[in-house]
Amino acid sequence: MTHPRISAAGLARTLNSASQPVYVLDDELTLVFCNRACRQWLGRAAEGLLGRRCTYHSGPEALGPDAVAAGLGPPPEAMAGRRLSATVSCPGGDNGLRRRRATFIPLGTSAEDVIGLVAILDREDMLESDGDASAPPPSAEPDSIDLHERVRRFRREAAARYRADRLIGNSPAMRRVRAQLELAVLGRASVLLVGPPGSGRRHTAAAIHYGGDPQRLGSLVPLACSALESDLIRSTVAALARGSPLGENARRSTLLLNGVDRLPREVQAELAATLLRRPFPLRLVATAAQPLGELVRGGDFREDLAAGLSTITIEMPSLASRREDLPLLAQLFLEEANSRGTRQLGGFTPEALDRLDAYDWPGNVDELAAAVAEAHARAEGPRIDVADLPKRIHLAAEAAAHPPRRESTIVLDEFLEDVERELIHRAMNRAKGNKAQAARLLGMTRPRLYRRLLQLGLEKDV
Amino acid sequence: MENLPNHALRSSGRATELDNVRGMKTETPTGRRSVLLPEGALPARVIVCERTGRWAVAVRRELAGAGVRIRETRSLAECWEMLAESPGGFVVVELSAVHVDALLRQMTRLERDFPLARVAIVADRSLAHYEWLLREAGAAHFTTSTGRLGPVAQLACRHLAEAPSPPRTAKQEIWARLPWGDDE
Repeated sequence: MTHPRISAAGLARTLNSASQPVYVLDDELTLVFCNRACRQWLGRAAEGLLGRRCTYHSGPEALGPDAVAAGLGPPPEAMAGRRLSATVSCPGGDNGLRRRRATFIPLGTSAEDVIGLVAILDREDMLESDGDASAPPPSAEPDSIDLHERVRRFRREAAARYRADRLIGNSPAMRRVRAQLELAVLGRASVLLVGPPGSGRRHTAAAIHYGGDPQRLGSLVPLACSALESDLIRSTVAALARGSPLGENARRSTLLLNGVDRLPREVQAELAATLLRRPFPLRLVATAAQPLGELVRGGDFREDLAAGLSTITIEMPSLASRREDLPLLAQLFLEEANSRGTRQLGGFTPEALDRLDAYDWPGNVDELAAAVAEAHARAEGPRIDVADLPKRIHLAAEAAAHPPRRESTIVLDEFLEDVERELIHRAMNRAKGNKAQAARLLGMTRPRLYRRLLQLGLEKDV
Repeated sequence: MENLPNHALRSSGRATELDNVRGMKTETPTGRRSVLLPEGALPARVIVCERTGRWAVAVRRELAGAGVRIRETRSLAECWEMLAESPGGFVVVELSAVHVDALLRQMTRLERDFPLARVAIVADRSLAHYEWLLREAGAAHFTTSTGRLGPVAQLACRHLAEAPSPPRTAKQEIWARLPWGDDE
């Protein structure tokens, strides 16, 4: 039996003696092997390439290691199990690019299960040259170029959508939020956004990320701490510790930990180790419904993690605590609703505004947006009136105006008979009128079902 | 649902509704979020949007025994209509090369239109390079293998467990517990 180490060494020796450049990528497109001819072809750019992901790169440094690795990236179809040829590139002289034809051979048990790729390059460079260093990686097939353009377009639109000045309000609390946000955009310090759900935490977090130089934006990676399994949180953060997912400069990317106050205790220690004890490449922004300090005092959150995540803490106010902003916000959401449909409404009647003002807004700005959208859809006049507002707002006003009524009563027999009638009706519908099947669904005999159908006045179902 | 014979509860129904509003079910984050449900909203459910049905089969297999009902759609438009009925839903969308832009557009509006919903993306391996763009657009998870849907199923279960429920009468609660659902 051959010793595996000898086989691996022999394989490496064979590949290193080949005159064609050869490299190997694992299933995450990480460069795991590069033979001597390939290193010679790459020249100085080969340094530090092992371990880098050969995938899409959107940053401006066309000569950085990430860009060089991106030049070796295969077309997406290769990871779907297709053996194919494509062009790869490496930096040449005068900021130009040298290109070679590469054959990508997928490795794995089936097309569904590709565990890596072997790339074998031609011995000679292609003749044409490309001096445009800002162009997408030339290895990119049309699909990858689409991705490049889509990323740029998406980020341009996101930067417009998440502008700081869209955090509307003249209340002192919102002025403070905007001032802190401007400060946060300038640096890379970790930011913790604390506030009730619906208060605009996610918008503010996105505004911090997209508020930077639009030409140099990296990825925003949101992670739902309350919803994801611990393993998934761990593995995602560990993957990000190796660099930005799209290959950009990680210093321009942001990890957004949504609902970090609900991060399972068992993950906190590992996250603290990954995020704080060695330089984590991405910027950290987190949102929480309750101040982490309170959780630390209660023993529910690690102190070092809380401190590491909250170099800057921005407190998002509830809508009820800044009622003076309500008319402005309501008008903004109305204009958004106007822009989505063909109906244009001019505003709110004074009575409708009074009713909005009297409401508590437990769902905060999100609830106001939903209420205005609902009222916009219902309104028949030129402005939104009281009657157009959602029922719960009227009920809240009524509840505030009247003391709780005495407990009402029910007639148990009638109630149960209603329930039985409806259950039988539903079972009959479910069984498409087949009484034997309906009886089985209800766990009763067929004659009993027949009897009850008659007694309950469900003759049409008989 | 509202065509139920209801005379036995006629006197108490309104009081229940008002009492709900008084308490506002706001003591928990989930309760607070329930105010984002429009009137007539259906409870949260899992919606799978894809072309062939193979992802739905795999999702159903992962969720077997969890008591979760799955709705299937074949187009994004239909999927978003279903989401409008059940705005707290968990949506599994298959990414295809032809609707990348349409999906991105919908995703960017998700936060405003359906703040209670959550989306996971499934895709053929050839589209794996879209993972991080779609995550940036708001996808909670992305996978390219029907064999790796375990995390999606766990995410769906957690989402449904925490999704706010529209206020229901006692009878509606009973219908919701029927093993064959409360779709009437």
